[in-house]
Amino acid sequence: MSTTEKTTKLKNIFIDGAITPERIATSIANHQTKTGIGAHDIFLGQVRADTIGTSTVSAIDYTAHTEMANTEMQKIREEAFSRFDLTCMHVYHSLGAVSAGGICLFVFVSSPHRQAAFDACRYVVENIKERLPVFGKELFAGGGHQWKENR
Amino acid sequence: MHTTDTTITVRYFGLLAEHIGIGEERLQFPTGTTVQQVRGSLCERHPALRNLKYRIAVDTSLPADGAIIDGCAELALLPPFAGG
Repeated sequence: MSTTEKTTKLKNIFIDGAITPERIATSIANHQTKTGIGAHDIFLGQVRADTIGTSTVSAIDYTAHTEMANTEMQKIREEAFSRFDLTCMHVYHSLGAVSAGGICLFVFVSSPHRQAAFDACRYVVENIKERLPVFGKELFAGGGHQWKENR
Repeated sequence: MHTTDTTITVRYFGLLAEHIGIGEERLQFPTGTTVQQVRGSLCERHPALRNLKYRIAVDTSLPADGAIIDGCAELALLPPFAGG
């Protein structure tokens, strides 16, 4: 049925644990057949070992309102495609624990030319930080935790 | 005039779940309840909420405080976002 075909299935951006360098490498390799692309831009968010007083963050445990986050991400995706000359775009965010040094966000945008790729990448990352209902519990090395808040 | 109560799932995320001690519960709200009224009645039910910062999602959107929640499947209390 044509109406069913039109319905865009909501993409799930969440994966368990850290985003591996292998996943990123595979994703880059998957674009080698798309020869209309002339520029990729990639943003990687990494868990930082912040020190708060005498405690150091050893990991962030991520939770999310996944249905809402995926719905909101779909809107951000549509906005990015309408604002910038993009060929494709991929986003992954971690759920669960990611140790300091691990990658927790992977944004990958591709375009015929660099300017659109730069602009779209920034737009997508800023909007992810501001609009996705994702929560981060910063776990301290010696026990205890605090809740992260994006600025 | 008679108002009917609707049972709605209320979900608590992040530090809110930690403070309240549960992740979700089923609560009854009268027809015509606004987001602002939800806030008031949840603060009475869970006094810890009074000092915490959060927004209320109705299904998957964040409506204005005056919006009426009739017909929604679920409410979610969202503390400050920390993605990325």
